[in-house]
Amino acid sequence: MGRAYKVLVVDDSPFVWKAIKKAMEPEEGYELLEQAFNGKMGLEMVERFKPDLIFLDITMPEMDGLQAAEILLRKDPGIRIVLISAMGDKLILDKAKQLGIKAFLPKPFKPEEVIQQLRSLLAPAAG
Amino acid sequence: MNQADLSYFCDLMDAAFARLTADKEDLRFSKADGPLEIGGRKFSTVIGVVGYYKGRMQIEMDKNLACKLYETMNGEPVDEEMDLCYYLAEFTNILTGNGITDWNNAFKGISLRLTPPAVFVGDNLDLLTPEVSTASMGYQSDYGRMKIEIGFI
Repeated sequence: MGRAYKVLVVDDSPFVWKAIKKAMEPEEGYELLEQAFNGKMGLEMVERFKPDLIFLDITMPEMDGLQAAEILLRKDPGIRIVLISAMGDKLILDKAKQLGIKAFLPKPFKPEEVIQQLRSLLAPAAG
Repeated sequence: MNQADLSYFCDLMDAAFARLTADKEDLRFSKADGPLEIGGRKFSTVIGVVGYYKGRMQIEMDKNLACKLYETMNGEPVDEEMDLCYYLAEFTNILTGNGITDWNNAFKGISLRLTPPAVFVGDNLDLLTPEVSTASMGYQSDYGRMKIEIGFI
């Protein structure tokens, strides 16, 4: 078995990190990194830890998720981002699509939906 | 904000709350006829709304209900009060975000967005925001009472 996939959660709510951690616990092959609490911190942690997948919230202090995604995708268009938000209006979804974000997980989410995102986005690179 | 728009948003919030709690058989809510007062130790979460309209949402509930809500939504009891605060902030974010999304989709161009929430905990806490149009919705359950206050300038 290869190395575990590194997963980063960028969200100002500690609760969301805990919920994703709980969802991932029964699954093997994933490593959840420490939480990034805003977009700016997220960029630093991506640079440092090179996660395989990022759960990225939209509404955050300092730098929001769409701003962070724009910077991340400019540097690496292949980076895997799952936008997570309670806000899912057409304007946001269109903007996310335009940036190249392919996955959106609306809040509230269920544990199985977290796992589904992990499997669908990371499976092609497994092995 | 005029009364019709305020009332429209209240309906969206009411529908969003019903959706969020729809499958929670052990925590049912009924809507109160009028505004509710919540006394004693309570949790109050405030979140800002910016865009074409500017205002804030406040969700208030007593501690017993807050703990039950946490347990019902997360499948485990509250361990620490701080965890409860984090959850209530997220709950408010989700509830308001869902309501605002419906509003944004219904009226192109209003582009409403949320600001990060804040949680206040205290005994007989009063939060006042003068000079805004406000509406209040009360909910009752077997575990306590909850109030949603919506205010826009």
